Amino acid sequence: MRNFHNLLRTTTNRRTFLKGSSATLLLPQMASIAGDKAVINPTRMTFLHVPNGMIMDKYKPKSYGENYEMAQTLKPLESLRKDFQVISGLHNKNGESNGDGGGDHARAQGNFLTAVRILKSTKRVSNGISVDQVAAQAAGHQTYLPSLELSSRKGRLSGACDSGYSCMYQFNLSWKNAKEPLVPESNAQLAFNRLFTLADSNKARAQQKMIAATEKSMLDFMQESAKSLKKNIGKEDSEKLDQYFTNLREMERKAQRQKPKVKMSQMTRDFTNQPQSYPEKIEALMDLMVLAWEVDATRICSMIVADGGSNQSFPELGINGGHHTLSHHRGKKDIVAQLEKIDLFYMNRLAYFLKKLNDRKVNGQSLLQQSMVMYGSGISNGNSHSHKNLSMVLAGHANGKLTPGTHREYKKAPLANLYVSMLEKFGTPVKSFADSTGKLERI
Amino acid sequence: MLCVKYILCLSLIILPSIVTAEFESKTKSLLEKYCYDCHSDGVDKGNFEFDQILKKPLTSAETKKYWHKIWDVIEEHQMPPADKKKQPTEAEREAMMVGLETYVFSVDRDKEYAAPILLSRLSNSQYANTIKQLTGTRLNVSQLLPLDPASGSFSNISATLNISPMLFERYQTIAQNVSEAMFLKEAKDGGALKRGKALLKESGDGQDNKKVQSALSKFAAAAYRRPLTSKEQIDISSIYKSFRQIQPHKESMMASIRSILISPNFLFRTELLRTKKVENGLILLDDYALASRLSYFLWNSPPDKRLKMLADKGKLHANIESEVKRLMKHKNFSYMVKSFGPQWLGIQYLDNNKPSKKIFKGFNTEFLPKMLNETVSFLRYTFQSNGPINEIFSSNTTFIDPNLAKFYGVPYVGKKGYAKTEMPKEHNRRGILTQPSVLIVTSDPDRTSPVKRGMWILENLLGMPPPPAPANVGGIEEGSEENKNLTFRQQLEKHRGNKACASCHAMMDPLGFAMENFDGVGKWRTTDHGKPLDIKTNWRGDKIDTFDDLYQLLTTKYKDEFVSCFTEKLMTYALGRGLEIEDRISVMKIVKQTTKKDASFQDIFIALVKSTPFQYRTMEREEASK
Repeated sequence: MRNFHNLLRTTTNRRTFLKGSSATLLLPQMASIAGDKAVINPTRMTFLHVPNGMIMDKYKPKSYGENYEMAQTLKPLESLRKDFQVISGLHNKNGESNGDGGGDHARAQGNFLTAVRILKSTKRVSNGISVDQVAAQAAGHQTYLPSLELSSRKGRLSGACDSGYSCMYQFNLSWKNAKEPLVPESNAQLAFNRLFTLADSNKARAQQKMIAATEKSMLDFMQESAKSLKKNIGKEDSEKLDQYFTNLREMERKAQRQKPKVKMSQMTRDFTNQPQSYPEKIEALMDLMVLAWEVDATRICSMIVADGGSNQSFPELGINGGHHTLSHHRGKKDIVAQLEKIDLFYMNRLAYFLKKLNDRKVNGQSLLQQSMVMYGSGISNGNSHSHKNLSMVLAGHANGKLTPGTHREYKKAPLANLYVSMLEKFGTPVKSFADSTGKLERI
Repeated sequence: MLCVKYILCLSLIILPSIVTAEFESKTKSLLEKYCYDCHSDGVDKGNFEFDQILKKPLTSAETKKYWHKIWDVIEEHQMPPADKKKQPTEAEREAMMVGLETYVFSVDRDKEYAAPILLSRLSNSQYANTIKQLTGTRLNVSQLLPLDPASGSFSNISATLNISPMLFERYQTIAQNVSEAMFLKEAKDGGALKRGKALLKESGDGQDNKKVQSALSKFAAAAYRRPLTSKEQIDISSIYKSFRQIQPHKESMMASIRSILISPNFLFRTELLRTKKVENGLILLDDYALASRLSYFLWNSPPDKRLKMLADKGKLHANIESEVKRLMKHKNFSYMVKSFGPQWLGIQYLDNNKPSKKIFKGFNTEFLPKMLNETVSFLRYTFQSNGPINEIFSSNTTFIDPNLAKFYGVPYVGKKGYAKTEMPKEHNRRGILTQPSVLIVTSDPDRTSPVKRGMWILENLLGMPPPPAPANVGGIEEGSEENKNLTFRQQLEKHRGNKACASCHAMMDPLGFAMENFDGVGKWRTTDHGKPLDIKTNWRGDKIDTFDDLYQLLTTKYKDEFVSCFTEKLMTYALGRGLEIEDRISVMKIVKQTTKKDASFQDIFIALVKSTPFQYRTMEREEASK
């Protein structure tokens, strides 16, 4: 077909693209996997964000090493003690004010996965590439979707959200580059349709066949239209057309592979039914990640379990105040007690997810064995908005590359060091990432 | 006196260094007064020191990005920080900005500006309206779309409207579903099926290639909002042919429509011109491009038949004023008001507020969307009426449904829906400041917030935002023992004893105090905590004794600020881009035309549509060299 294959040549490849970002990519090692039959299970990873910090006293274990004493908020994970580790003492320097004034929630979520300083403005946006996208841009082409972004609620459209920061920071976790966030999906049914086709649906099969038959001519047509448009526009605008070209290439790539099929028997829940309660909404999206990993529809995910500065109330737990308002607890005992309950609420969701991963076996091994799940908040103490002493839960074994089952302290190590290590374990190593100073040894 | 943030255009001509002396006396002196304490002589808060950049010539490319940032923080009122006692007056702020514009950025104050050609993706609501108008479908496509990753005050700002992978997938899905709806009975979509049938008929049921090409070209021209080039006609014809090789006519038409709906010419507003008329170094938009700008501005939708007809005849420029009036009178104008109004006033998330039912008897959160509708209807009425601009602050007219009527305690005067109602005198309804939607977003769940209300007026009506609050300042200890018997105003005044907060609160609070007669859900009251309300206050040297005094101030002494603020917001929305520094000249021109006594909102809309930034675009480099 005319020009069809030019699609791959017209714009920058992913490597030149990464040059401009905050990550320096080393050569990905993924190719060796295919040649080595012993290692057939790919590593998968996800990043889960919870807002407003925690009551650290109850969340961070008081002792270190393999025999650390389980902290109260971590109790829901007790039965998986050997499958996760707690990594403490991390510091997200670029989340701090440093002359930018208020807006810690925008910063804490905005740079949670990018670790760079975000631009304080409601007009313009500047962030960096996020850790998940470094992996997706290097290795995402191996699956149907390079990466999947989820959120428990649809965010805001416009305006300032936290002390003069654009709302984009607080409602996105994954960033393709400084300017392009990957807007997360909050509707489980739409996300399901995006990822899978039901193996036994006649209609879906017929539709796919029809689309496949016309796809090539259509790609040609779109390519031609965009090319003649490009001749007539200025430099700034051609960036937007480049996005269009990128999408065309992605469409072409997907056209060459089958949409992952899910059997009825694999359906752990009816995704066409929108869950009503808050915990269920979160769990439905988590089920979706499990399914996506099970059929290898994608290997890289991120999820806003709740957005930065979320003011969610929990009437079912007897908590009528909003999470954010409460998080400025000024040490008041009754409020701290409510916050402990909220921390526990989110921890229970993590436990739900990890148990599902532990139960699901692919090629004879549990998904938890094959994955990395990072869980945490960009703030430690919500009362003072501290970006120091962050504790992250890192669950999973990454196919044996991680050594969980312990509590480790890395005094003042940049959060970005954890990301450098995770990228290495994932198989997409980088020399450095954002303000990293190295990697976390031993994790 | 600025309301939205301007983006500096960095590609300006470099001036000779003669300006330095003037810069020293006019601009640098002010910077020294307000900025040097923290940013000079070895003090470099936030890693920034003036001495470093002044070592280089003012107009040097290296230092421009710093000057740009400085201009930004002055304009956005971010600096000096709130806890600095020394704060510049608005006039001094303006003087610093003009100084930087003149001596660093060499802005020519006699020349108006227009942006280069913009390639702008349709915003989600524009996309949904366009699909609906084009295909007649009843599919609710909006719910399939991920959120626009918009930034800034409006969701239609071109610079941030990316096409994410997920959005692109949705475009494909929607194109698929809509094209099926047009040609397949099973889809049970009457409106779309009718269009599909007409299209099949026009295409001569595939017997005659010419007819097929003409039918598809016509559809594509409507989709692209302009006539097709001859190459485009050929491309469309050939894509149909390639489909026709593998499937029947109807299915091929369906696939062709699907292709058109994911073409960049459909998804982006392009403004490629067929005729180029150069005036003062700028290119006048041709009638098709103007029709598209106009209808997306006033209807948030593609051009209708009449606009298209005027463009075909080349008569739109000549009839622009009557067209603005026509479009504003039409029911589709409410698409614009629905999109612009709530974003301007910051009430688009009214739903997120939860006024306490316990404290505000009879209130029900189900009223919130109704109150939003009320304000949108009020704005539409105010924009459409030919009355003076001041009516937005004085009108006792509003629009309410039976539920709201019951809650407000007035008789419902309509038959159904939102009825135009003149509120009785004792309700003290006076335009926008008294709309419950506004009064609720500027309140906490259990009480009013004079601070939020003052801030709201400064930001949204006057364009004079105070600097952001310093990080981690304490709030008011509500419900504490010592504050128990104080009115909220008394508690707040006690809090202002904190010196770091006093100067900004002196800007915000009095405006809010003047609105204290309206409780947290917008009802008139005369007491708070059982004590009589004390409204008397003083704001920037003017005495305010009653609520009426506040609206008097806004409609007389501060009218210029209001009109200028509104014009900037409207222009940002109309152009779908942040205003650039040079746009200030055009804004001021509109303000001058429309602050006269009897000018109406419609006059602002017309002046804006006729303005240089709306009518022109800049030349591309190759066009200029031809």
